[in-house]
Amino acid sequence: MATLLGADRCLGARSEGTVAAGRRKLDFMGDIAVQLNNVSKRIDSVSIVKHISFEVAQGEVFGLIGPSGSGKTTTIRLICGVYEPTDGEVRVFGVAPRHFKRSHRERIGYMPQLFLLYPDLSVSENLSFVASLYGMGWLARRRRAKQVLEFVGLLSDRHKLMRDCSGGMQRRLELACTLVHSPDLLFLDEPTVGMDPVLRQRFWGHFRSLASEGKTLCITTNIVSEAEYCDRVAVLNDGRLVAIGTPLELRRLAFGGDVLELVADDMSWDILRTLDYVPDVISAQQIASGRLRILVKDASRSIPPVVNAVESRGVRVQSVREYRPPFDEVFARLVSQNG
Amino acid sequence: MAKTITRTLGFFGKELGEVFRQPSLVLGAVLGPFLIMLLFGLGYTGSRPPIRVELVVPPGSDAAISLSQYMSSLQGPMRIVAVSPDEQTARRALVNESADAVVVLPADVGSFVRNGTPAPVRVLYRQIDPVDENYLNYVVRLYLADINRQAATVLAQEGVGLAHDLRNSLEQARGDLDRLKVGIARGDQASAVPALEDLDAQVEAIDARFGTALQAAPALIGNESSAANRRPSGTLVGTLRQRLALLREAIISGAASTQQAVLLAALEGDLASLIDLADRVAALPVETVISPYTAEMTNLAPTPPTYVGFYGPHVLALMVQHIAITFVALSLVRERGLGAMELFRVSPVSPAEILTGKLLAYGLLAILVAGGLTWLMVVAFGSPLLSQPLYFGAGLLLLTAASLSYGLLISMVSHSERQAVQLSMLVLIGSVFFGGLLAPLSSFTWPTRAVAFGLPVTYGIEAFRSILLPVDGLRWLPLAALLAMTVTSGGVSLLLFRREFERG
Repeated sequence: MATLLGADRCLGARSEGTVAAGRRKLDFMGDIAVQLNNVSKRIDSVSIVKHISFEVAQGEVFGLIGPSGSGKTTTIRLICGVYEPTDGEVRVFGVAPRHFKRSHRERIGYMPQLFLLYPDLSVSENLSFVASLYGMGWLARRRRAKQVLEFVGLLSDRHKLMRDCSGGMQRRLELACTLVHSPDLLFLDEPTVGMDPVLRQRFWGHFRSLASEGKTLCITTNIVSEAEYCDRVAVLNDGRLVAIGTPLELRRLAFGGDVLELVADDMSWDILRTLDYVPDVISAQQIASGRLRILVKDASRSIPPVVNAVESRGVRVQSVREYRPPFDEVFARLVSQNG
Repeated sequence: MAKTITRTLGFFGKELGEVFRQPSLVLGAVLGPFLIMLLFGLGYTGSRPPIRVELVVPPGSDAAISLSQYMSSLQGPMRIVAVSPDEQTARRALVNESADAVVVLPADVGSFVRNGTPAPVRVLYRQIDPVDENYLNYVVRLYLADINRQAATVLAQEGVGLAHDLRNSLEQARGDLDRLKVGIARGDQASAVPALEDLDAQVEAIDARFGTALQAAPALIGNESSAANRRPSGTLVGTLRQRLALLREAIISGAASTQQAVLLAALEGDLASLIDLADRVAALPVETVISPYTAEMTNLAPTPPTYVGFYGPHVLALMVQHIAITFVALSLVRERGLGAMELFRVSPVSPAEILTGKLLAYGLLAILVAGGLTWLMVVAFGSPLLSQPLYFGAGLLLLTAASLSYGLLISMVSHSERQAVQLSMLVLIGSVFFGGLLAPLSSFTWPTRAVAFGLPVTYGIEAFRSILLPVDGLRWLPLAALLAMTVTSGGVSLLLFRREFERG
């Protein structure tokens, strides 16, 4: 179930019922890795983040999605301890970031948005340097560097200077640097920005693979379609948390249910009237000749009664399937409904 | 502890790796200063081009013509490029820069001298460089001193000629005295009296012509001779005349012959003294009379002064400071620019570990560069810097440490690489002007000297100079000052960095 936050803008109050803002137990995941409770951040008297609350469970791929300037990076920085919250409370592994000990920091991997590593060092030297920040000895660094470079596909380029690497290789090296000390919790700030779609797919493949190893990932992105790859997504706009949930929940939240696309022969307007009487059907719309889009409460339960109702009018149904609107559309709806 | 060492060494290795990936930077840092010193040593002669002078000699003035001839014959920093009778023409040479100075000789030297005032030699020039103006003043004074000395020499030569004349007159007086003695010895008053008259006339003539010169003569020859010579010569002539008067009375009154003999012996002694005096004055070398003093220079420094030997350690101190300050200042600012600070703040690394790693790397680099420069200076120029290896090492180490701390301070107040470079260059320029490289500290006023005392290079130069020219042993104050600078600026930098690191 999607969670909608902000008392004055609660979409859930209209479509899914009000869900209280604030802490929420994640019963489908492990322990809580990250917890934000009514967190705000002002920089130079400008509110960047406004009363955000959410939790991230261990082993989860958690996405922070929003347009540029929506507060994603500031939120990540608040969680990592780069910033202190102006109001509210942040906890990571149950500890406020300002009280992090070195052992806590060693469990965190951070890939900043803007850090470009050192152009005059080679791939392996850059990696070795970042590993040394986490106190890894020479032998451990050497062993681990091989693993992570293999993981990101840079092993054969390890002697190349950073300045000679392509943008994609540099981003992959940054990911390798984030992983080199085997952190439990990863914060990746717009890791796929500027990448071609093929490389983006590979990156998300890496992220899913890491999650399958039990790592927790908090990933920010302004490429809204990437929300599909996350277990849960928080949608930010203008420093506020607009919506939070699984991709499916967010889609339902944006459209008010699931969407079916039905193709049939010789369809007349009567069909639309007939569908009005089918339980779980919220609305129906003809988008082309012989093609309908039907909004239902639950696609898995609604397909048989919808097909029966259409065929009872003597029309042969060629196909019916759940239509998944692109996440760009979902995001636009959520933001506009909340704005 | 092991992890702290790993993190610190991580920065150490990263910084060195970045620097050595740019070998031209390291080569430039070592070879650059050395080549500059080499070029300086080979190219700097320490001498200035001669001052081009146009002489203005007023027509018809013999004194001025001979003065100009004399000036033209002088060897030195002035070269007469033209002689003109007209001042306006000479002034044009100044304007079109074909001459550096115009020297206008006085038209009537004699009238000035007769009036008891020195004749003015006017010097005209167009100069905006105060150092060049001072130099011209100095050279003109040197030339005038030489001209005046030459004039005095001519006068002295005349004086020596006078001494010869005096000698001749005194010999004639002695001849008269001999005749007088013979006359008195024979009791022949008729021959004695004319001889006495001749002697009296001769002495009177000597007094009239040489009296003034005789008064000055003892000052020329000194007072080292007999008791008679210690008497003023002017008094001697007076005594001579008194005795002659007494002798005249004795002869006329027919006094006892013993009394006349005593007076004659005294007169003989007086004449002998005067002849001796005249001989000694005539024998004086004129040059010695005019220039009785000459300078004998002895340099007690352990090594002979050379430009490279003296300025080499200055350049070394300046380079160590510049490399240390610039590398460290740029390094931290670059980390900020790359966004690395954000990663550091999330990672377990501490501000002290970051700074220690960087300082060790750049400290080692600065010392390697300094070592290379020192080796080149010792081998190529025979610099005695390594004659005190422990002191030199301590000075170099502390200068490096203080400079690194200054670099950190600059990086703390700089918001961009450009600003860090600007501040580093300001420190470099300040060091060149006030650090003792161009001019000794004592030539600055106190408020300006305070700027010099705020620069590590001042103490570095002071320490290295202590090796070149030890005064009561090696000086430890510069080393203490460098240590104090390291502790204060390093401490402040660490506090500022901690604050920046923890701010959120």
